[in-house]
This record gives sequence, structure tokens and C-alpha cells, in this order.
Amino acid sequence: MEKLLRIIRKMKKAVNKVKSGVKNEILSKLSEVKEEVIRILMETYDVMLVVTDRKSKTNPQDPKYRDEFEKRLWDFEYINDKGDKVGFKLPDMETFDFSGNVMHVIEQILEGTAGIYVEVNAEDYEAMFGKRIISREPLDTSVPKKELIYLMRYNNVVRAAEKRVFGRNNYLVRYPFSNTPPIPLLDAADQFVKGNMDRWMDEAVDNAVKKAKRGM
Amino acid sequence: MTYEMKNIRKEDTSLYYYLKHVVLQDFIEKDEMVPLQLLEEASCDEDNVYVYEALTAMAPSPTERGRGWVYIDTCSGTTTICNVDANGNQLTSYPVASGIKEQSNRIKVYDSNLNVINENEYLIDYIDGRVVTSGTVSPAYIDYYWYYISLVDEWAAISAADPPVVVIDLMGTDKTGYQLGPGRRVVRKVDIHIFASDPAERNDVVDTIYDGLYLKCAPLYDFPNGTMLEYDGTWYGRKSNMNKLTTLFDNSTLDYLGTNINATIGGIVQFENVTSRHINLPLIMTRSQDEVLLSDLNAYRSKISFDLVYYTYI
Repeated sequence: MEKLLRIIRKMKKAVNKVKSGVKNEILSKLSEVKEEVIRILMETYDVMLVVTDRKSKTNPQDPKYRDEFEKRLWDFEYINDKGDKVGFKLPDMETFDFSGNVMHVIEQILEGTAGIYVEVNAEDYEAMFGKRIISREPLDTSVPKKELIYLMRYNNVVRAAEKRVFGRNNYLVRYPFSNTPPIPLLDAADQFVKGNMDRWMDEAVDNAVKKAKRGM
Repeated sequence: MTYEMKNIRKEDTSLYYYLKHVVLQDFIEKDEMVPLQLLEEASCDEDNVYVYEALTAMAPSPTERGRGWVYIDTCSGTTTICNVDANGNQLTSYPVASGIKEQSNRIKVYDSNLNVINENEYLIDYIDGRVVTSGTVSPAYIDYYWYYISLVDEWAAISAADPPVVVIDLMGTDKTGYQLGPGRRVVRKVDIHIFASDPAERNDVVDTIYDGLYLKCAPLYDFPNGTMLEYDGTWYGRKSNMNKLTTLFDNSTLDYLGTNINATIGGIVQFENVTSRHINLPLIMTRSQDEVLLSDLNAYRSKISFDLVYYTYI
């Protein structure tokens, strides 16, 4: 009887060892996946958030935005370790952290903009409308007040003021993300993860079993 | 080689009709005794074509992009599109061999003495809000219903109308096998973007659309004769047939084989994984009519995402 209990204890120990080995393998694999996801998302960022108009003051490629976006991707909790369960989630527009000083600019771009807007600075605004622009809390609070630009709907009133003051209709720079639908940047890694997750799990289990066999 | 719409366009248009005529049917307004004015530049004496435009002060404008005058009746006592037989008689069951006829009680045209003009005496351009006659009658006033929500299927058209605007965006496709053989499960990823003029309106529209999709399905029309309206805004085929009981919109649906049927199976698209979320951008509001900063159109937004699913053998 005692011998049987010893065997059962030994078996339980072996099972626990395999379980723990599987979990470690999965966590290790998911850490690699996280790095790959961030690489894919940053690659997508560099492809999708490009402004070709050199006159535009909107520049998502500015290191201030790009680096912060990458930092937030690294900070995101992809792996959810709940003891005997491990979860993996990807950031989306609801879960990604856009809070703080500068990320609202990127959030605004990713959510899409309806309508055509032009970039107007305070000086041009004053010249066009004869009054100072009302001070507002900007999307990027790190920009000095004097350098702020305002996005104005390019309607007939603004067109007329532009032509009257600056003598032509293309003086104001068009906001490069005008009339742009939502940009699915954060969805870019979905297919990569969905399409490979089963294989990664199989590999992690195989590796754990192999290691356990070697240790026995 | 004959050209026919691909399924994706049929799905897009079917979804458009489902939202416009079924889901959003409570968002219909009435404009009464609106004066009609002869549009001389659009009329032609030689061809006996006289075009009248409604002079309405309604805001948002009933004829802005995605709106227009209501062009179908609803069945009495129900909330579905009114299906009729070839003689214009209302049918109680669906799907059956039937059609959808042009409205007959949504628009009334009067002469200057306020006598109702017979509906077979004129054509209606439902998109631009115009009455077209051959000169036999002189329209002076009109009552009509109009779609309060602008429903469009391209992002660029959003700014062409004042809110509320709803945009249908078919943004992706996944096709997977579902059985041995050539059958496929087709999944279209759809986003519906809602732009409203205040939070209350946004919430109403979002909830209405969400409830109209959750655990629901819609007919997948085949459009064998084209869509309900022609390019010029008139009812399809009406110009060559002034009898309003005929030339119906053919509401045949596609079956699993991708063929035109009027049977009781197939012919539907299902809505799955319906989710909604408000888009609360950190925008600053301005109410100046002249100088609109990035705000008004983008301030009260929401998005409904779902999968549009159907099965096909081909």
C-alpha cells in the first residue's frame, strides 16, 4: 500500500513538473510572440502613418510620437498569467493606452476624421478673422502655445477668408488625415497571432514533454 | 459576356436597404404643404418635361447626400418592408414570389387649389426631391416623408451631409470551408460609423442599429432587375410604366447555390459578434457657424462592428 502511495506521489510530482514545464515553455513562447507583435505593429505604423506633404505640421513619424507609441506597446500587458491559466491579448483601440500628453494626436489619426480640415496657426487665424483664437487645451500639451496649429473645417467661410487675406486658395495646408477612415493599425498583428497560436502551443507542449523526459 | 453584380455588392446594398427601410424606419420625418417651384433650367417645353423643386427650410436638408424622400410604404401594423404581389396587393408572408412596390401613401402632390393630383400623373425624383410632370398638371404643394438619417456607404461622403450620418464600411472578408466539398462560409467584417449632433441622438441611433443587428438576419437580395431607384432618383422602370402597381422591385433573394430563388430557405445574411463603442476623442467644441474647428462632425461618434455571415456552395 505504501509503495502504491509512493508511486502515486511520484506520478503527481512528474505531472506537476510537466505542467510547470509546459507553462514555462508557453510563457517563453509568448514573450517571443510579444516581441514579434510589436515589430509588426511598428512596421505597420511606419507604413500607414506617413505624411508626404512637407508643409504639413502633422508628423506621426516625429520621434516624440513614434517612440512613445512604441513604449506603450512594450508596456501593454499581453500575457495574462493566472496561475494554471495563461492568456494572451492584443492591444486594440479600447485597451491601448492613449492617455497622457502626446498620444491623443495618434488616437485622433487612428480613429479617422470625417471632413476636410486645414492646419491654421494662431497668426493666420487672426489675419483671416480679425480676432484671436480662443485658447483651448491641445491634443499635444507638450507643444508651446505659439507653435500650436488648429484644425479648421475647410468650408466656404474659411476658403473666402483665405483668398481675401492670402490672395490664393491653396495657402492653408490641408490636414493630411482629412476624410480618412479609421486606420486599423492595431489590428495588424491579429492574423499573425490567430493563425499561429495553435502551432505555438503544440510546440511549447512538445518542448516541455521532451525536457521532462530528459529530466526523468 | 454579361455583367452581373458580385455578391459583395449585393450584400452591401442589401445591408443598406435593411438599415434604411427596416432598422431606421422610426427616423423618418414628415414635411407638409411645401411649396413647389418650377425649375426652368431642368425643364424642357419641347419634350414636355416640367421639373418642380420643393422649397423647404427643413434642417438638416431632406435632400442632402444619403437622405432623400421616402420611396416605399411599410406594411400596416408591422415593422417590415411591405411585400406585394404583381397586382400591388400586400402579402403577409415573406419570402414569397413577390416584389416591393413604389410608395403610394408617402407623398401627396396638390395643385394650387389644394386638390390632390393623381399619382400616375407625375414622376418623383426621390434623391433630389423633385416632381416631374409632362405638363398635364400643375403641382403647387407637396407633402412628403423623408429620411432623417443620412445613410452612406463611403467615408468621403460623410461631410456632404449634416449629422446624423451613418456610414457602412465593409472592411474585410474571410472565407472558410464549412463542410466537405466546395461549400464556404463567407464572413464580411463590417463597421458602421455613426456621426450625431449630440450625445442623446448618438445614443438613440446606436441603440437602434445595435438592436436591429443583434441576433437578427436580413434578406440577401439578388437584384435581378437592379436596385429600387434609378441613377436619376426615380423608381426603377417607372419612366416607361406609369402604373404604380406594376414594375415592382424584384425582391428575390440568393440561395446557398448563389442562384435567384423565392424559396423559404437561404437568401439571408446573419449578423454575428455585434459590438458597439463610443469614440470619445479629446476634441474641443465650438459652436460658431463660420469657424468650425475639428469638433462638430467628429465629436459625437460611435462605431458598431459586426460580422455579416452567409453560406454558399460556390
